[in-house]
Amino acid sequence: MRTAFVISVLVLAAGCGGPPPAGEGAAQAPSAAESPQPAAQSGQTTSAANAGAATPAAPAFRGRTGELLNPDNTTMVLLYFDLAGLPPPIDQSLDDDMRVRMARATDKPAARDLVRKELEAGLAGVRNIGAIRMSLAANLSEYDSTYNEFTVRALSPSSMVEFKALGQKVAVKFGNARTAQVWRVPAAEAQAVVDRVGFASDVSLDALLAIRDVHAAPEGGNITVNVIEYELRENRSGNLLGRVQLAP
Amino acid sequence: MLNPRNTLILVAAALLTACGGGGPNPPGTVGNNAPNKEKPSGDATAEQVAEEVRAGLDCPADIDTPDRPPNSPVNDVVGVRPGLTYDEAQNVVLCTHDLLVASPPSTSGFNIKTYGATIRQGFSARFAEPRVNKSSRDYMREMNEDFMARSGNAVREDMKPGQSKWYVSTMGVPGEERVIAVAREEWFAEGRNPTMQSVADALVKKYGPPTRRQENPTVIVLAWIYDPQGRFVPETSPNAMRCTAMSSPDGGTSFSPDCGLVIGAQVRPVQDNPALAKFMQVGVADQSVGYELIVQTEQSLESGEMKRRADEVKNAAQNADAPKL
Repeated sequence: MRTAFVISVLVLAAGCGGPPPAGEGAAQAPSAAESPQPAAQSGQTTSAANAGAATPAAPAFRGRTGELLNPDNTTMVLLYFDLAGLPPPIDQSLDDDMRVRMARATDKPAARDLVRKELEAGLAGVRNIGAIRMSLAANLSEYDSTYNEFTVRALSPSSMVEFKALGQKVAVKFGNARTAQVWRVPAAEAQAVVDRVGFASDVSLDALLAIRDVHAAPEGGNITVNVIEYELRENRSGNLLGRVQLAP
Repeated sequence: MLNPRNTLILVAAALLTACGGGGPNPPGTVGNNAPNKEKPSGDATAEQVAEEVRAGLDCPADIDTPDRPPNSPVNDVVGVRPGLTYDEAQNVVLCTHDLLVASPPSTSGFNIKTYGATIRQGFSARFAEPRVNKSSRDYMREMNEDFMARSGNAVREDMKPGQSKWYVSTMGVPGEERVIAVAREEWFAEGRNPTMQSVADALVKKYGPPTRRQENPTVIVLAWIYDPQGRFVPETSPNAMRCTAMSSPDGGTSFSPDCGLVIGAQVRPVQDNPALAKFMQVGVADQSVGYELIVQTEQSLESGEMKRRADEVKNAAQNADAPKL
């Protein structure tokens, strides 16, 4: 093991494909029609997917109670700066905006002003944000019959979601990933889930994430979130496969 | 829909140049914390070299780090386990044989930003070699012999029967480094080689039934894998192939937060009798804990750097010269 160690943080931003428009893929209470036979399962708190269980209250980070729904790159970077208590590099970023770049010389001051106001409004909009709802590809594992569970690899300790804007790179990591990634399904119901899923890539999840910590670093940083709850859906039909709620 | 990737895996790539152990730097006292003293000169036997370097070593080693919790899996290699301090680990390693001497790593270690801080990222240990004063003619002859050997694809082993070598990987802020991985290779003494099967059986007796076991005429490979929650990962688990087990002191290792304790072992036979073991390698890494420690260390140093920069900017605002325009 005498080695040169290399940390490879292979962030495949292209794979992220950008967040969906607001509202798309947002967590929704499943109706009976769209959840024919959701697997009974348990995270730290068991709840049947069609039971309409109430969302557990996320502990507020520094008293923040606001919630973002599938935020875009710029919003997340502004949120990072707000959480870290650092001034965002708005002035330095104005000329990188395509509207400023493409504007005629005589129009550039106005374009800069417009972009600045947008960013300042965006910054004001994240001031009270303490939770995020995010839709992700679940990357579900095969069923583990030893422990009667699937692994939701999108929420595993090695998983992160990256956002790039304003020349900064912000990564969202899951603080309770070890427990959040476990989707327990009784053996008797596992086959039905496997039959419905087909391919692991056909499952998405809608997660409620509570901000737990922020770590500032040069040119970006990390936001650590705790997964409060998530729903797993089969992509083709949109059917609910299961819901996992975790201790706040 | 966002597509997060399982990305945060610390990959340790082995440099082939690091293999072969002997290298240009003869084994000696671990450099990072060794007192500066005059380098001994003159011919000396391996025993004399070891005695010089190991002066002041106390055996058996004092271990203040608490034992592993009861009912947790066996995680040591001849007493060296993840969680020990740098000094404890070095003490245990050197106490396993009178001829072992430790050296600092010959490679640059983890590729993390240390902002000028010196972190002891590990040490190697191997048998002391006799010290021979060589003339320029001796060096030229050796270089020529090495060249001829390479040209003929000659096999040059860096170990002799009866010897062992170690690499211990450590991480932490300066002065608080702890073991995150350890690997040991042991060459069995000639004429006293155990059978391949008995070595494998001894490994299974110590570490339990393995997650993976592969056998062919040239090697037995074993791996024991646990998840970050300390649960054994059986062969049938979908996660069984996600964790890389490394056993060679000269190889690389990886630290994935998705993997817990990972133990790897290899047993290789002597050339003229595949039933007898020539040497074995055993490696242990607590991957998720190691990963966390690496990240924490880098973040801790990063925070210090951010504070230093902020303080300098603050001072500059008060004391800096104004430019003449």
